[in-house]
Amino acid sequence: MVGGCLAVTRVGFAGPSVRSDVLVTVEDASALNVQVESTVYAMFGDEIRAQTMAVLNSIGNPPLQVSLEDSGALPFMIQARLEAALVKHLGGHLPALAGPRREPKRDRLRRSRLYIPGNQPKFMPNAGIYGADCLILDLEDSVPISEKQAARSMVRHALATLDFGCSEVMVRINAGDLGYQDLGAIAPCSPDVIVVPKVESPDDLTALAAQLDELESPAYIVAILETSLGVQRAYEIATATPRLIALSPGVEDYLADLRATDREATVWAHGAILNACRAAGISPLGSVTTEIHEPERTEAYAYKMASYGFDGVGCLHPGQIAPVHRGFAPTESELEEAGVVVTEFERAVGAGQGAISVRGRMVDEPVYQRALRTLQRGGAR
Amino acid sequence: MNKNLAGRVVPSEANGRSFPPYQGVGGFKPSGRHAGPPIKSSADFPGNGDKKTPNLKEALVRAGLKDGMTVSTHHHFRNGDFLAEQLFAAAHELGIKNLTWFPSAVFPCHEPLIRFIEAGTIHHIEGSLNGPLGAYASQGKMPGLGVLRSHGSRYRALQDGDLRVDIAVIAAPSCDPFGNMTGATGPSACGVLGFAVADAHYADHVIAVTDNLVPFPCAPWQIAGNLVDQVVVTERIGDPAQIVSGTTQITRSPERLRIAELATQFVKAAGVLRDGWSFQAGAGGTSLAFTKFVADEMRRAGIRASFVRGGSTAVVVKMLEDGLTPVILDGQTFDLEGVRSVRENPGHVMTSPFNSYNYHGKGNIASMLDVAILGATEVDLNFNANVVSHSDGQLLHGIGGWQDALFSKCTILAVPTFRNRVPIIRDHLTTLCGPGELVDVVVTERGIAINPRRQDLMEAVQSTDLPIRSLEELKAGAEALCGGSGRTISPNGEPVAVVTWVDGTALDTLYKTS
Repeated sequence: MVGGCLAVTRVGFAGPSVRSDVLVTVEDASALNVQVESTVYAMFGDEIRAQTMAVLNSIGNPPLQVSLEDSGALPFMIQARLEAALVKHLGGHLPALAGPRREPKRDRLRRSRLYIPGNQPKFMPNAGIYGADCLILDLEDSVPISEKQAARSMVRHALATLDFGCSEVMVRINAGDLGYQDLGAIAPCSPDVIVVPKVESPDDLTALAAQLDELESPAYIVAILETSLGVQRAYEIATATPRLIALSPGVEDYLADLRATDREATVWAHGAILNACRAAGISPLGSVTTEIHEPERTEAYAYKMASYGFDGVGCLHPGQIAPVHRGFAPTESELEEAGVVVTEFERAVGAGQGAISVRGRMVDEPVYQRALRTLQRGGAR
Repeated sequence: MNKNLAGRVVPSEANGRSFPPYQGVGGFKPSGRHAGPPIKSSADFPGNGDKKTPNLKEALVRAGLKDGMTVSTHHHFRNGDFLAEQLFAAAHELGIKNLTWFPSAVFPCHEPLIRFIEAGTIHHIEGSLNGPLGAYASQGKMPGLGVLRSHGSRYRALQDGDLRVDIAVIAAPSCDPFGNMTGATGPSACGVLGFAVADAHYADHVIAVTDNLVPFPCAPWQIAGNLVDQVVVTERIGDPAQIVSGTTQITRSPERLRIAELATQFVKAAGVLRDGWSFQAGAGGTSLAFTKFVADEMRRAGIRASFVRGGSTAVVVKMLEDGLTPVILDGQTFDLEGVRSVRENPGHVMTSPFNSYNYHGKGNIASMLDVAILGATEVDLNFNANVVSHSDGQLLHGIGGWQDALFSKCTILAVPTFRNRVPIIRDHLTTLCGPGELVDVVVTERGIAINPRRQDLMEAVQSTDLPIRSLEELKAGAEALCGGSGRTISPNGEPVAVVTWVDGTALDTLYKTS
């Protein structure tokens, strides 16, 4: 693309099966010319053209042929595609963008983490309606290397524009240098949590935390351990920075690194991560469940991970969220018991007592706290 | 053109016939006597009961096919119908012009029939226009005006004599030489023949076309041979595998599943889902998912329905066979499990639009339904809705039984708040198909809006954690995402079709696009 002449830059997707996206094509030309095709042209053609002209105007109306092939993209998607295409074609940086300030919370339910591929905008507008505890806008494995920059542009606009409901918003960045570029683009748009893959050393996290300090981001960190070295150092990593709230195993990469083919080979890694997290006072989170249309198996997986002591699992489809929450929910009798413990203990504390007996069992602060967590898991608190 | 009670501008006549303007729900009640077919005498038919004619072309000649006549076909093969094309190819070979085609519905498989409109064989279509033929009509290429009627209103149109069918051609999966026919058996079995019942009774001349001639009597028959003038045997009348057109699969779209889930939670919370309840759910992906979810809920809670109105599908058949409902009242069979069930289950009962929702019936089963769950392309802030056109003015869907089912006790429109950047809840409808007073609830992926007329439903769910919203809130949310509501397409072109209400009055007009 040296010199730019004759180079054609394409960002986004178009075609009969594409929904909610726009393919932006940029070529050098003798004068600025904009062409818009859209499946919603009759209704939004003028808006799309005006939005495109405003973006080009902000960079001084360079002599380019800019063509949009739109399949009903929402305005934030069009903005993201235009910016990514122009930066890719002309060089330079994405324009400044800031979103509504989110206030990350360290302690909250993280039973379900729904992955949203970072370069597939159609999944983004409704991501917040399914009641997932967490959403992970993914810049890493779901995005081919040639689309990294486009995905970064899309994810930051999604962060700045969309209401994700009650879900905590995480962004999984890439490992290494690419990850630092990701961070620079998305941190100003205020994600709650940065998920960092392939962590092998506490230094990886202290460096990341320093960069978040520099970017004045309050975001927390979740680290994925997916190599033998990373798992071996689980406790050192778990205590690397106060920003870290959880560790999670990356099962597929870890198996490859072990040269194992049987998933049973991850048992030790799961144990090591679980133990390191509890020792460090952070949260152990399980890997994704891959049975997309089998709710019973998804629920069984979540139940198993919950009984091992994990606080949540990853999801690839919104339909997995309800079964995962069922898997993590306490049973009816556990809920009933916890309800009685909490009610009685709070009444006792109100009356100035510190420890009481409920149904013949001693209840003190830690028992009360465990009962509270049971109610939270059941959605009752 | 004049303005009707709903404030819509409608033509006072179409295709040479006058249309009274819409006068409100239950406002127009024609009097007089039903139209009827000419008197015939058994003495004029073969004593041995053999009414076979060698081929369709010969049968049309014997039926006296002439320029300008009205011929009808039916859509029990949905997207697998071969007969309509064979029929108009024969008419074309005979050099016939300016026919009115009166199908009970058209499907994408009928796109090849556009060539018979271009050739002048077909003058215009009066029936639910969808897909390619809808788009064709929208471009103003059809010489006459399309007249869109619901299934119930199509039956009514024949009773009122709004139009007379000169020749009805009925695809019969099994038929004897006398004309007794059924859809339950044969290599092209399609289930029930409910849509052909009206034509069998009211058309001047009835031709049964079969690819499975059976010895007399074809029993039990769904349509009696005494109504049939001629029987034609042909190689193939349809492809039953294509009955399962795209709309009859349970959706995998997370948004639609979420809508179906919310609708299920709503009927449960509102106390509508209770022992002895009844419902109608169509073949759309969201409706099918709703049916599956309520069936799961009924199993869990030990609830049984008193009846379910089809379109029958595998999901509804399972409800019947698991004892969750004693009866399916089936107007059309949507998949091959439904076809099997028609054959095997005494509780799987064929209905015609007369039984289901005829305006001149002495009572209306639709109004006895506890719930009808339907789709829509647009909804306005007064719960008025559109089901035939998109906001860009394109005619793309038929009315089907949609208008008829609005009369249920709790009509739920299950819709997303936006499709393809276009917000569904709008200030003005492109086309009015159903008055808001009949729409009780709108369920979207972002919340549930209850018609303020239904304070009872509002109170029933107020203490639940269901996301109850106003239409205004849902509209504002969609517009924030979509960047406004989009340009309103103003109807300045020429009319291409008229939407009638269930009573035959003119409810709204569709206009030429671009």
